[in-house]
Amino acid sequence: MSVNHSKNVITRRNMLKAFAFGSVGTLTAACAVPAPPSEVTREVPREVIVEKEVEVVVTATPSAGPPVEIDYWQAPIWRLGKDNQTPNAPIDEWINYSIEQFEAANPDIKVRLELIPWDTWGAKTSTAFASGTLPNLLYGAPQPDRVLVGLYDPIDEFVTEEDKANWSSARLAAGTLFGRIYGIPTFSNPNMYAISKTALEQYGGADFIPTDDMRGLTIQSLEKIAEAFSDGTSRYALGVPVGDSPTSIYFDLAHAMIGRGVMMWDEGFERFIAHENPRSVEALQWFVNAQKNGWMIPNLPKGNDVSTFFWSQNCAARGQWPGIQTELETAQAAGQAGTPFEIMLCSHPYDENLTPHAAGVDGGGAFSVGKTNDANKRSAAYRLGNWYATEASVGETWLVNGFFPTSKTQMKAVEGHPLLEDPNKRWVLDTYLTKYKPEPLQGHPMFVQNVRTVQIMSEIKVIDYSPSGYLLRTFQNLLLGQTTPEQMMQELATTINTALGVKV
Amino acid sequence: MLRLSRALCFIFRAAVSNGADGWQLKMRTVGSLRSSPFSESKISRWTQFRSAFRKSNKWGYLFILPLVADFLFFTAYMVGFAVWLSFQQISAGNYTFVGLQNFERILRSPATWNALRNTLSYTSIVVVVGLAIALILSELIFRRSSKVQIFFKSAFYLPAVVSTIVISLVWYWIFNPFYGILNAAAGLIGIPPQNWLMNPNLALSSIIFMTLVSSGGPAIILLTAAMGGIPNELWDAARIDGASDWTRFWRVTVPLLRPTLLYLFVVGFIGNFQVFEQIYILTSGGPGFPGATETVGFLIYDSAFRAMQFGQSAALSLLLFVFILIFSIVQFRVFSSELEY
Repeated sequence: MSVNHSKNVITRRNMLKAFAFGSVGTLTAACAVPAPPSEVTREVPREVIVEKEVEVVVTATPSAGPPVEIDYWQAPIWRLGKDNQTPNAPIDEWINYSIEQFEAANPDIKVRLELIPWDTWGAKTSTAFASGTLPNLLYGAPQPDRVLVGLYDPIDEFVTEEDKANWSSARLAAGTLFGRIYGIPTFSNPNMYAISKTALEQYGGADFIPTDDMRGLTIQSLEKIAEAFSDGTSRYALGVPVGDSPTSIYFDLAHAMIGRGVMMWDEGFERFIAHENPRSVEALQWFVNAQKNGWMIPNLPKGNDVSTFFWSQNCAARGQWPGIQTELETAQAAGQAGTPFEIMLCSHPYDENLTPHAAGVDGGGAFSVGKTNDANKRSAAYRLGNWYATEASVGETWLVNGFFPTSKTQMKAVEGHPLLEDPNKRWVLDTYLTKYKPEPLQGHPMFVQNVRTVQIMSEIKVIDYSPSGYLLRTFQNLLLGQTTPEQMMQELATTINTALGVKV
Repeated sequence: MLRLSRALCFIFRAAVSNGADGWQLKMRTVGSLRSSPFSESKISRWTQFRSAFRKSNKWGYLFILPLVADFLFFTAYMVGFAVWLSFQQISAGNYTFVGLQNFERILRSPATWNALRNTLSYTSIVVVVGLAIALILSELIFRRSSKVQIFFKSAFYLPAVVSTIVISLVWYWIFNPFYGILNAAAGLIGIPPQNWLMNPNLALSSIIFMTLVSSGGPAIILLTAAMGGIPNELWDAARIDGASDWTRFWRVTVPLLRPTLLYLFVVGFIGNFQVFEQIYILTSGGPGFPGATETVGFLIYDSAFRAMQFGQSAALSLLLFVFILIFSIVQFRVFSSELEY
């Protein structure tokens, strides 16, 4: 067989050359500096604080033209169907139904929903935040570091006095950053402690459940519960999901500190100070002892493990949201939890000589409006977010899914709802949200909730992990016996304060 | 690829010469054009083009176009973009050139060295021990009847068709310290329950064990196929010379499997150095700080999607690339041989 060497034949050498040139060209194209986003003007709210300038804005009004299309990203938080009753309905049933309702009432707006599962939510939103490509409406409260770099649009221009009067004033304050409103408050989702009354009645410890109206759970009572309930081999009073869940930081670690009067930050959020209070070491030692005494599920359990123990009555107390009642019903339907199963919600544990605080009241459900120069989209996004916050019929949806509506219209709409006869829900509404003092922000280690501390974490250069990941791993070290409480506090202080340029 | 394109070109030509409908129609059109004196030049140009095109192998461009496009966009462009990203600080869509700052930071971070140490331990054990086990199993399987061979090859290969995520989730339950079957089985022989995944002394070993158990299939398939290519005369000659089974295996089989072993070694090293899924599902890099099972692949993910340090993550990717490159070159130098059996 002869080999054709004419010019029309692709030789291997020519093909490799072509590949090489193509690759070099593509690499060069990839390395070319991308043009900065031309349409979006970055607004740095820090200047807003300094200059106190009033921005002149034009509020868009509905027009007779084609509908304004907006992108809306949401994580699945609804467990029931569109009738607010059907369990195990398709996960997008209620949200699609609500968008239909909204579009029918607002024909000038077309909503493009992207329902993003929780397991990809973090990666998807992180990428969007980094690349500056947020949707018009995003589920989640605005975070100060992202406000600072101009990822969100302030919504002051749309918020009427009527809206302000309708919203909860505490939630309005929580959504106001650097003097501007960035968050549309939708529902409240405080956190607290959940005690399995049934488990304690069965195995011991029920005598130490708080019985007064305030339901303040003291550390001393929790210890008595743990002593009476735990057998140290298969039954443990306390479940702390330290294996994988950052909730162990803000449900357990944070409140072990706050409950003993330890503050993480000084008044100006300039310096980490927890290590200077000896009770911080005491708080950490408590967990070490609880593990050693068999009061706490050992082996760094994950969230699923804690749930398995709790549903099977082998764990009596854990940090939780009020939505645990809905979770219980789901677990019962799946045969994971027995019947009867009575849960009692109460405060996070605190020292009997101190005053307890309500936790997570300022956070919870909110929407943020992504940056855009299109005033019509901004307006439409606000209207959708505010619809979820104030539409009367949505109030019941928050309630049946384990949350609490916060606007006056929605609160009024759920008055007399059978679910509000539940003593736990009544306690949250009548006592926890109203009679408890909100937790002090200086006591909170979850930096993203504080304006100053979020800046701190974004400035810390020695940490390759997310703040919650770093704290979780450090907490694991403590429970693994790889560090002592004193060393852990010292390491946290050194890491954070050194990065801040503060002398430890 | 070029051979494939030539083959397809050949098939196409055959179809044309056999009178495919579309081609016949075209020829009729050409015929009618020929009858017109005004279209002589067109005919001649068309005929020339057709003739030249049929003689050339430029069809190949068409056939390799999808692969080339795939390579240029999903490999060359992405690699270039990662290189560029590694010199940037990225925030809210704003890119700031920071020179070598990302590299300096990752090289100074104890987390990087911890991750490299873990990755190297994981890869070395999985590749070396995994290949040794695959070699022994292949030898045992190859000596059986074809039906038995098929059964065992299928059985060992089965986990390879299942996603690593699914396998990891299954093993998560097996390893569970509270109700996992591994602790139940260990209890039967008097071993106390262990925290397989959240004990820093056991976590990486547990993941290595899981990988060894579930990833030998492809190597066994390749090794048994390579054993089939060894002429029987060589074994017979060794037997006549009085070689024991072990000597025949070690002195005849293994040397003749050297190219396959080298391939498996290099590919295994490259693949396992990028380990991520098992870590993500089973331990999330933990327990502890720095993580007992944190690998470079996991740290790349953690930096990008949890700490939102995309530039640093890209720099780590390049570091991983450099390590893989160095180790691959070393492996080729050490294990490849000019000697052909």
